[in-house]
Amino acid sequence: MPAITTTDLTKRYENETAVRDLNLEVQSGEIYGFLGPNGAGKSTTINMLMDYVYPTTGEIRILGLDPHQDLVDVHQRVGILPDRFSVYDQLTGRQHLNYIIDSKSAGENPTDLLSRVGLADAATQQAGNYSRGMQQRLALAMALVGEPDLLILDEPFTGLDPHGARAIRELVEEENERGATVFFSSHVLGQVELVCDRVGILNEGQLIAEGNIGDLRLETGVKATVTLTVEGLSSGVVEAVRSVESVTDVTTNGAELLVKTGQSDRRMELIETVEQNGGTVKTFSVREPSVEEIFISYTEAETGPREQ
Amino acid sequence: MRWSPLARKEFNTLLQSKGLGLLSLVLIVTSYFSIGGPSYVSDSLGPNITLAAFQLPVVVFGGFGTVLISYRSIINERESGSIKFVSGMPLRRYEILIGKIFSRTAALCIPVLLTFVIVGLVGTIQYGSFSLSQFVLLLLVSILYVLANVCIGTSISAIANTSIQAATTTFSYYIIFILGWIDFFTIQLYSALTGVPVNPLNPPASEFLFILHRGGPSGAYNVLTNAILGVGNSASWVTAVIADQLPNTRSNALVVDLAFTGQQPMILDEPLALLSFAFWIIIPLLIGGYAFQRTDLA
Repeated sequence: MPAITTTDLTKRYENETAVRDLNLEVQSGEIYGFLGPNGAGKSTTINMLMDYVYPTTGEIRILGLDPHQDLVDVHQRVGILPDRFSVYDQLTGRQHLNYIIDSKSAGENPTDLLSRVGLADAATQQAGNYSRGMQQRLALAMALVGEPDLLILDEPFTGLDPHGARAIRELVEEENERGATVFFSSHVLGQVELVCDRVGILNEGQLIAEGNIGDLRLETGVKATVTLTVEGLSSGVVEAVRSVESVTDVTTNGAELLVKTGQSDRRMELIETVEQNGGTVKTFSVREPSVEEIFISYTEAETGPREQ
Repeated sequence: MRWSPLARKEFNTLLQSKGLGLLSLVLIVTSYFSIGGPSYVSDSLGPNITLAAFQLPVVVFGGFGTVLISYRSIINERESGSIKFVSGMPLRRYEILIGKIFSRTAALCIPVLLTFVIVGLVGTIQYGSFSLSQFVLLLLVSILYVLANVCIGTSISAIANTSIQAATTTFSYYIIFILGWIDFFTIQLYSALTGVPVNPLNPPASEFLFILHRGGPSGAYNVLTNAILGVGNSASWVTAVIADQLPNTRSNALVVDLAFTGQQPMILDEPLALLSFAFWIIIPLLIGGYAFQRTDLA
């Protein structure tokens, strides 16, 4: 059974359509990254999944349940880290946790949860005095209450330093190993690449691409760059490499040969070609296209290049 | 009761707030200085004069404190974003409203209770022992009055789209239905609706006028507290009601016994003022609950 299904989900406001005919299926047990530029409709979608906002048309199923009709059951089984939230300034970190633990009748120890997000030392401080990153981690700890079957994280990396982002990634992986499905939105694409099984790209309220990152790389045709340091680099070597199938561009920089290719797994063929034409490969590296490049490729294909 | 963790958290937060302490202080001081008054009041009430001292402070200051503490309960959370935690809990929206109302009413009972106990003790020392049963009844009616105002304030908070809108609506409600209803707006509204001018010193025997008078929460509270004190069937302030019934004296109180000669209309029976409270509890809750249920929270 899918953890999340949306069918023709649409949310229209007076002057704009935030989400349009969204058909989404997130399988149980996967880590799904929901990507899109600001204003793409990611948070509106999550708000509809949580029944904070009502769809104009379309259907939603969360763990097989209707989030409006079966709201209590759904919220009992879902942990949410919302976007643009505010903590209760006067409550301590521990009191925040106790509040959610009570509401879900969960038996967890708040200190354990705070330890998992690195806030054990700040458990008795008022959350109003927390930094934004600490508040983000506190909200994540609140989302973990009750060992949810589905974790929905809206922009979880916002306000976090690299250590905080890594901690979130590790938690996401731990929760996924426990059996939880994780659905998160983000525009911090480097983090997405490190943690997601599958991604969906939302632009102007519509899902424009979906799949695992490898498939999307192939689909967009965004090229990998193979860099070879060659002893005896000659124009003959360059021309021979240029003739290799899937190579689209070859440039040189001193002894370096930079090759753009649609198939980075053909590197052995590139090395053989260099060596057969009198060159000797000293070093060699491959840079795969990043999620960011894939993302830009998709969103610009839809809307045209963005103005700087 | 799934809403009890929410109510508990809200109650504890309110206990830490300065507002509750300030309200306690204002109620105690104003109630204390309300004990006594003209000699005809003490002549009429005897030791129960202490009990009469609660009426005006509870209506005016208790009412103000109550709506002040209630009107931001939901809109503030919507504006700050903390509503996403509340509405992410396994709670239906009506349960969120109930939790907010229950916690606020419970918290606001503390200043009311403190005032009754402290001023009651001081009054007993100064004026002798009052009726304990009347004391308890007055306390219960005061809690009912607090509950009605919490329902109104919370419902305004649930309906409003901005805190400014909520504040404007709340203060309009307070000025019209609490502060000005008894001595001013009832008469103005009656005259506007019927075209009949009213001289409050000699009010017409109009059921509609008297129903309007006790139709506001403050009027209903006064009817019940005046009935408990046994001073007369009126939604006006206890001192004015007593004065109006003295020979050769007239006040601006609208007293049923004086306006209607012979059989008094049943609809003006004092216990029916409880219906007015029921109206001010149920109708705002229905409207607020309906609006909150349909609102996008983000």
